[in-house]
Amino acid sequence: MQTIERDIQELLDGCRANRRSAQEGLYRRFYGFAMRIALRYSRDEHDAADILSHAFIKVFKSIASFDAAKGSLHAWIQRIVINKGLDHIKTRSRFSEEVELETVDEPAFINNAALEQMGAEEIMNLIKRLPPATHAVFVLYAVEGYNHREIAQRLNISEGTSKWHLSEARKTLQQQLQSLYN
Amino acid sequence: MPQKERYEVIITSKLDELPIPDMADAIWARIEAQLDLDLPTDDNGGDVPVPTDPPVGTGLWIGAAFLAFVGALFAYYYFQSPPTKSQPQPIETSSVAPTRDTLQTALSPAKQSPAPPGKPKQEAANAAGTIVSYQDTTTAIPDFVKVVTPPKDSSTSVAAISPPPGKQQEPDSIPKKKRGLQGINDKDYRIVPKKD
Repeated sequence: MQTIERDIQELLDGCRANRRSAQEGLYRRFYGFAMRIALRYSRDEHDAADILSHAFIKVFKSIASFDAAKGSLHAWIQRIVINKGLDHIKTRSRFSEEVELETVDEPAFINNAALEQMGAEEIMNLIKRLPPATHAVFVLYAVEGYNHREIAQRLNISEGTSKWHLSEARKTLQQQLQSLYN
Repeated sequence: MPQKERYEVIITSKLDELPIPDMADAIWARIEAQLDLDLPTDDNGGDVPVPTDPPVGTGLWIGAAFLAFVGALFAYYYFQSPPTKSQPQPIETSSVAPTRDTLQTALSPAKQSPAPPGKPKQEAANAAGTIVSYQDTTTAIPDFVKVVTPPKDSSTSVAAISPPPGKQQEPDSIPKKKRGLQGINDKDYRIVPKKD
């Protein structure tokens, strides 16, 4: 464990010195972790590659601002990849306040048994079919674990709009699950 | 962090099982190309600090060199380009008969000589046009009047001002009326320094 930490520290030092070999080493060490996050915000592998390349360029440019005392390197890279993923979704959609509703429907029931029978790629395909803004809110809430206030701040929308998108995502997923298993 | 519902836990665990595409090399090539532009390094292991400020002196030299190049280009084209050709202007033929002064001015030896170099040919053409107009509108032309033929090189002007060849060769049927004071010619206007 200490060896891994020491390796990462050496890579960080090399990245701070703008050594290309160290930058490549850090990228390859975190490639799987970052690619898995990027895939959640993309429609296909090429979108994910775009998100990942932009994210790592951001990582290397701002590596001097990383402070290990404030959080882990994993969390720091994850936040950067999520931000780049949201930027990517924003290019496909306008996050408008116009969709805010007075009332939000009760959360739709989702058939857990049907979900468990599905593979990872099938579930990802269901999520990709959501409208871009709804897609972003659903992943941030259901997968990343953000609350509506944090999502509202990140996407520059109101909490009500965030709740509405989550409700829409649940309803749409439930409809798709029913159509698949009925 | 909100308590996760069962479906959220299932989806999160399933998404973690997503197969990772084998694109690491291709993506790194893109990242490296961008880094070479934004954070250049003479890496092969060597330490190169991240540039903080762009070198100011280099930018100034590049700007000065660019300005000098533009200036040289401008000067080259300005001095090498041939003199601008003036478009042949339509010659106005006045229906009003010229006065005696204008006629004499037009027929003075200085005006009959070809236009000096550097002077626009238009002036000479206008003078010739005045003569032609006079010839058209009056019947009496002094003996000393000669039709001024424009320089051969100005083809367009010649076409515009030269009278029809037939008309030029017609003998005058009406006797020419003498104009001006009799017995005074150009020699009388010549200024000769007094001999003491």
